[in-house]
Amino acid sequence: MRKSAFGFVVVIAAAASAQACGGAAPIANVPKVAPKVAGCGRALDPATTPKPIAVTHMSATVALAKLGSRTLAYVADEDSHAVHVVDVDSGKALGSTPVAGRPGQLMFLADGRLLVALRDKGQVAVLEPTATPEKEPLDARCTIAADTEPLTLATTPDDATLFVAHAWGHKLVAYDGKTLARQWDVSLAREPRQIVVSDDGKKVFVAHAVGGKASIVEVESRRILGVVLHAVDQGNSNDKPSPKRRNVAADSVDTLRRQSCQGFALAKTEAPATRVLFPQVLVDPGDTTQKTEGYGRSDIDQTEVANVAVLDQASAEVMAGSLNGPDAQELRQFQTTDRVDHDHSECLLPRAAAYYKKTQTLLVACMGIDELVAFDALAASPSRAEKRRWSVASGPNGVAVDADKERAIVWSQFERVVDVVSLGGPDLVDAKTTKLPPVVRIALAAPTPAPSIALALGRVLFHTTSDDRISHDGRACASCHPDGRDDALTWATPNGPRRSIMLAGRVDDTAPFSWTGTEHDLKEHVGITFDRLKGLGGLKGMELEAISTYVRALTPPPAVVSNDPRIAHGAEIFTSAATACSSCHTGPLFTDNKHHDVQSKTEGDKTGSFNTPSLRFVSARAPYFHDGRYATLRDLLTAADRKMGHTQQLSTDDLEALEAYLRTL
Amino acid sequence: MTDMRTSIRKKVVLPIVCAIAFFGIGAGVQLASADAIGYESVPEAASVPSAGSALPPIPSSIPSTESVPGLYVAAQSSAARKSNEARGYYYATVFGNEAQAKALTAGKPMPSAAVRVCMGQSRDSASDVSVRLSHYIPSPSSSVKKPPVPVRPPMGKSAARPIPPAAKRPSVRLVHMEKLNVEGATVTLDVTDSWVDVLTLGARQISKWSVPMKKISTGPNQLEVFAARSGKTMQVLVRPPSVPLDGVPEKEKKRYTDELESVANHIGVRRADSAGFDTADCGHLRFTLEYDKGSGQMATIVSTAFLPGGVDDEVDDPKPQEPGEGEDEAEPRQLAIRTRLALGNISLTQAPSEKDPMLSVSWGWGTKELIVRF
Repeated sequence: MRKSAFGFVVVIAAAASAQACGGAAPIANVPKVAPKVAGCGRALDPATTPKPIAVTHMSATVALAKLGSRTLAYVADEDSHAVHVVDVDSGKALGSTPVAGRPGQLMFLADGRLLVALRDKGQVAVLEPTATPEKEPLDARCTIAADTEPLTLATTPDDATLFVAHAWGHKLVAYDGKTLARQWDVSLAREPRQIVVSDDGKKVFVAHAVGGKASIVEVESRRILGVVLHAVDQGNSNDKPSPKRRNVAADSVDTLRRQSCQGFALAKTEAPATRVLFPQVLVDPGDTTQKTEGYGRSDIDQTEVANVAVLDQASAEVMAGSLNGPDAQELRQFQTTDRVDHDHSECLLPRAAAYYKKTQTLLVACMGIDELVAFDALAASPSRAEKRRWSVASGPNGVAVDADKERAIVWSQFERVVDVVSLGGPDLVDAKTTKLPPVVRIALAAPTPAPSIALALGRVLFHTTSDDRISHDGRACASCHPDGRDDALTWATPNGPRRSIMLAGRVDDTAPFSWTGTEHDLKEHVGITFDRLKGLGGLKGMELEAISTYVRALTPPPAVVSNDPRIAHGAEIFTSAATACSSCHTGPLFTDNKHHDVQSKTEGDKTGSFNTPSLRFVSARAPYFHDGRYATLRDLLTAADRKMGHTQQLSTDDLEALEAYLRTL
Repeated sequence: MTDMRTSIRKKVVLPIVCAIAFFGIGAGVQLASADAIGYESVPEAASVPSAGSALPPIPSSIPSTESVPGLYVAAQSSAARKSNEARGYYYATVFGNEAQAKALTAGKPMPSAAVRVCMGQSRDSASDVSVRLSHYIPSPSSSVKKPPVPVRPPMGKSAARPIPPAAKRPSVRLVHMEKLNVEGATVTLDVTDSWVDVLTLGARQISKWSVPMKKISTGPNQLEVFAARSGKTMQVLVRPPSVPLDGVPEKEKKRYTDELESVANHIGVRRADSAGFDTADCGHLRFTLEYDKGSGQMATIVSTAFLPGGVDDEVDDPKPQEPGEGEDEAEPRQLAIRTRLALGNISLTQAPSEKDPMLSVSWGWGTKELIVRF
């Protein structure tokens, strides 16, 4: 499956160009000044301002409210740093309110206030929808100080507690729902990307983009439970017991090798069902003691399979059977031909989810294939019970359900479109003879300044799954580099075990590329990567250039905000001759761009000489080394002594100071 | 599906295919949507014996005078029988239809059966319209040294363990028979287990169960899914889709039905936690799902849906045929129909904190459209 990315890219560029020339109307009434700040409580008359509908107590990039008979969609636009308001019924974009930073997700509180997480500012903006969305959609109330990269929000069902999860800061912070005063926080595993609170308000379920586990935070005790979301042998984990072997697919050798990844979305069923649904991808990175022909195993067609793990709200146990993969290949046994001609590609980049109670449906917004996919939410293995799907605009990363009108509202960031999808009617429809309600597309104007065509095209290609020019098994760049970062996995490769490298903010001026540092040209390196993914090739030069452009421009994580007094001492240690850290990790990117043998060669490695990795953003991209051998920074600092710098002489306090410094890089 | 050819949409050279588009297939698809059914609404029934259920002692032989109602044991035609028995081979074929049993013995073509019965040789399995039983008695004059069916040593035993002499093996076999009775809103599944003696053709009933069932979902082309529950186990039975005949000319209906019934009747099921993929061609497919607190099972039904509307192939020779032209040709006109694999997912689960088990049925497409030509 290959879709042309050019069409809308050109449209976006053309729209921006026309706008600049005065040929097209900009989004109506964008305020020219920052909205006033007048305290955190409601200031406008609730009777005349939009009322939230479909309150799920969890955030998304799109939230719904009602103003009179009109349904309004509030959309977080990370490109234009604004919240747009769209009239879903008339299909018109009404207006926009700029926000102070890059909006992550937004959420209505039950009282009507709108919270917007500002990823790059370490803040949550509190806004209030106005009665005149065409003029000034949102009125700013206040901002809440958060930590590094607040992204996703949730409240307890009674709105008594607000939770904010921080992606790069990997922290969950609890605030008082009324006063918005900070109450407590806990440190989470890497890259929390979506949270939801259980119906009884006692647990916060956290999906992580990497790491293979869900976190369940017990609100009262603040204890964190890590639940493995892939099949492993019972007793192999110190965390919550993993699913029993008998409950995974019969081809358990393959199944047990797979690791959970791409946890960007969550949904919660409604009574009488009590399930939390985790759309994810199960990845087989291969046996890292073996050399392979590419990235991962050479003998399988499905390196990654889409999956939806199901957890029970009360017990936080994984529902047996939900980790079974799809049975696409098995249909061969039934077909009258050898070829299974599927009408769909797998959802390998799930980015948002919602639950539609009327038909017990889990809706998953899938980037890469640009589709909204409906699964049977009550199935033992929802990913095996796909019901239908709709094509939506490029880059869907948010979905909300308007249950009264049987429709889903999908926000697609790349194409800047709000799609209105009718959820009514039967699932099994012969589209050739039955007229289906069309997906209504509401296009928003291009941001100012508009992204270059190369950047827009590069972003689409970076996230395109099921493009056989890029990979033979559907993988996209974003599969191993979610959000431009890394998947925390160590892959079997032709050269030995290799940790995926974080890209965002770590590409420019870090050549040569790859662990072995054999490529000096990024475009060439991208081409080699596609070869290893067994892509057929054929990407045009401008497409490779576009990908390179996008990779270089990937938004890096925000700087870690820290007042740790040990940082300065840590910097001294880092640059001291005694430790010699900075002899290789030097310059603004903390790399000398050279090869070194740090005695890390494994049996699987072809060479023992590795490219010095940049230490930028080193704090939250564990595990470390080319084979991921060190799980934590402390492991790295202590176990690599004399092979790479000298740290044995450091006291515990010194090590802590050094770590504090590294966390700021 | 022996003569069926499938292909994706492509240019064809047979103008006659264009003509079938003229007929159209009619609105034959019964479109399905998701259902969540209260488990308690599924009728309760005594549990049906499974392969693990205890059997009474196997009789050494059964007189030819004994029989089981609805079970028809047929010998081969006399010529085939004589030849095989001279070499020590004995065969009996068991049907649920008397005419078919008689046709086999008489060496005549097999008639189709209006009422379909599913047979099997295990208490869990009934996927064929008949079962063929065999027995081997070695004789000194026999030139064949091996029995017709290899005897596998029991699991866990040494492969070198001598195989018991075939002559000492009883000539009595288990036959499992299932018949679905639909009378208005009342649906029952009759399950009969019997012993059948290959040598005497006598049959003796072991047990008979009558299980009331409820329809829990309708798939494409009136494919029906029935269920009955027994504690934490649910029996699920799938009846294949019917062949849509709307819009098919009268003179084509028989061929149409004959050709497509084999496609319609071939249904399969895959349990999510099992490697097995079971199929049936006998008129229904039965399987079980179980749940427990914190777990459950799911099965996927695979069936062919016949889609409405004509096949709009392009033709290389668009010249219209004159009336009557080609009618006398020996080659029958080629017919075509749009089909697509439909997947029905049935789950019976209960999360630890859920009060009741959840029974959910949903349908989705499995593949792209395929055009079946015949």
